[in-house]
Amino acid sequence: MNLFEIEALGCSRGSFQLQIPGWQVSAGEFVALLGRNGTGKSTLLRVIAGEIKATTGQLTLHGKSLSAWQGRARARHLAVLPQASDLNFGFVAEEVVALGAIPLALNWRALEAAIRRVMEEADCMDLKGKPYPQLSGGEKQRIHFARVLLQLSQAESAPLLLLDEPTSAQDLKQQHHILARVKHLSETGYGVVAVLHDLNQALNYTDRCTLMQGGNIVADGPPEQTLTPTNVSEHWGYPVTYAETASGQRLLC
Amino acid sequence: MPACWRNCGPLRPDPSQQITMSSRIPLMPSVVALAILLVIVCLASIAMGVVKVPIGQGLLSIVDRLSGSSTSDLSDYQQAIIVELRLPRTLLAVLVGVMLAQCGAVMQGLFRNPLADPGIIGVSSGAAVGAVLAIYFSPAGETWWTVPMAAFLAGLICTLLIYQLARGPLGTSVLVLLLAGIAVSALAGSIIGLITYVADDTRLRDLTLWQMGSFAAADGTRVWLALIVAVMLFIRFQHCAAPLNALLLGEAEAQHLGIDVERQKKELIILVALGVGLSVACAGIIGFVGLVVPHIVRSIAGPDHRSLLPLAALGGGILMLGADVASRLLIQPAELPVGLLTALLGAPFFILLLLDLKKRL
Repeated sequence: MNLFEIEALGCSRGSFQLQIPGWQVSAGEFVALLGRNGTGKSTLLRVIAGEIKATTGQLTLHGKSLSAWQGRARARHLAVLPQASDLNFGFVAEEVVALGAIPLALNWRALEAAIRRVMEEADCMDLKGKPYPQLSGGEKQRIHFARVLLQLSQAESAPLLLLDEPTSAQDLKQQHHILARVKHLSETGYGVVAVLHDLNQALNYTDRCTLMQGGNIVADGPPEQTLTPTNVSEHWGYPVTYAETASGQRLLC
Repeated sequence: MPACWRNCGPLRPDPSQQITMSSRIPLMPSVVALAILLVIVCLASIAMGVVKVPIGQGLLSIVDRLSGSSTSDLSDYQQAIIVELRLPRTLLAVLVGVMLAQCGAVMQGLFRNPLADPGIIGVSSGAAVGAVLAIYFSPAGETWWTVPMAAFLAGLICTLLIYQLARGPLGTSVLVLLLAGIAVSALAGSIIGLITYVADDTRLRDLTLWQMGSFAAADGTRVWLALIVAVMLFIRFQHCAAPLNALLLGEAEAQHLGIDVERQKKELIILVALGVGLSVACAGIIGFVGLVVPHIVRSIAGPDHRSLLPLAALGGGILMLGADVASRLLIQPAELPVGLLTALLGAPFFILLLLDLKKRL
């Protein structure tokens, strides 16, 4: 059984139409949503997250309709890392991470240990006691990464993690750190869907790439099949070729 | 993984970066300290005023009234002042302070804006219109129940109206909600102005006093009503504390954390309407308590609603009653309307907050 499934999804937002006859994510799979701006990647992510109601169609998580899930149980199995999140109140970083425990049942001691673990995983332990509003964009994003890791830490079956441009605010080292963490999570059974803009990141870290255009899925498959120079040149309207690094890694440039 | 390239120096030179979670004031000791302070202010409120009474004797006369004994040495006249005037007044001031401070904290959380005040969504103004209409139209003997009732109902209707106005296909827009609040306040202001303009002299005096806020009219009915609502609000708000924390992140994020955002917002708005509407009905328009108290508590104990709400409740009671005692003592033998006093203290506080905000932008 697939971890997550979409059937005959239709969703209209003004003049924009999202239409997906069928699409799924299985446990342990790292899927990239790719496409030019305004092709429906973020809309699809928001439909999966439940922020936007689909006009028609079925969304199922672990074989159960997404709307039939009880709120807290759903939150333990489906988490979203937003691109940016404003918070005007003087929480310290650690307290923001602790908000991820709202759908969980943890006692105080277990919570403290869990917070430490996810903050180390997200490489933001050094920000622990700093006031959140004073952090940089990238630091805030890592705090939220720790928060969603905490939120999914009590899932009874494989959880689905949605990432909206998880590397957009990060420096080079952190970009690769986060993607490596996410890749590792998918290897331990998490289903991961990430909106990415850097095609080389998609090529090197993900298991599958879903290409979107005009609200439709136009290509879906392993990265080396979907991200061919021909496909990329056609969809993005920018000519690219493959290059190979000394270590044998393929890059689009 | 050592990350020394990020630890080489402070990110921004700001002393407040030293704050850590463990440096937050722990909840239980603060609750106890504030509770003791509240009791002290209550005793002062019973003893102080134009007629001064020893605290012990004052308490004895309350015990006498409750148990039917006669242990107090006070004269009947003094006992009547304590039991029939000061006791209900003290209790009402505390209850209204408790409600207003909590409603302020909740409103600020709901709007994700530390400068929001319950007044801004139009509840105060709406309730005020109800009360003013009741003062003007109902016979003098009936105002004891028509004013609270009308204020509460008008506040609730007003809030629901604003909420429906602000509701769109994507949920409630905070911006539209705020603008609707401003529009309703303007409309309410003009209705109140109109009634004030056509009112006769005795009613005008009632209206003016009431608009400035006062606990002088405290009686058993109002105290009981306020007690029931305050207890109910306190319990419900405690249940809403974790969802409110999540809402601070944003509505989408709160929904991702498993919270039924629309239902939660509706409940909070109705509760705030109830608290503010009843406060306006019982004591008139008293501003800034809902702004000042939560702000001070946040700066000491952090923005977590699980500690913010109980501490704000206690702080609100202390501030409100303290202001009432001061309003009785400042220009003896007359007394200041307490709403005037809170506005005198609260408005500069608000301006300081604005200046601070401007500096940070």
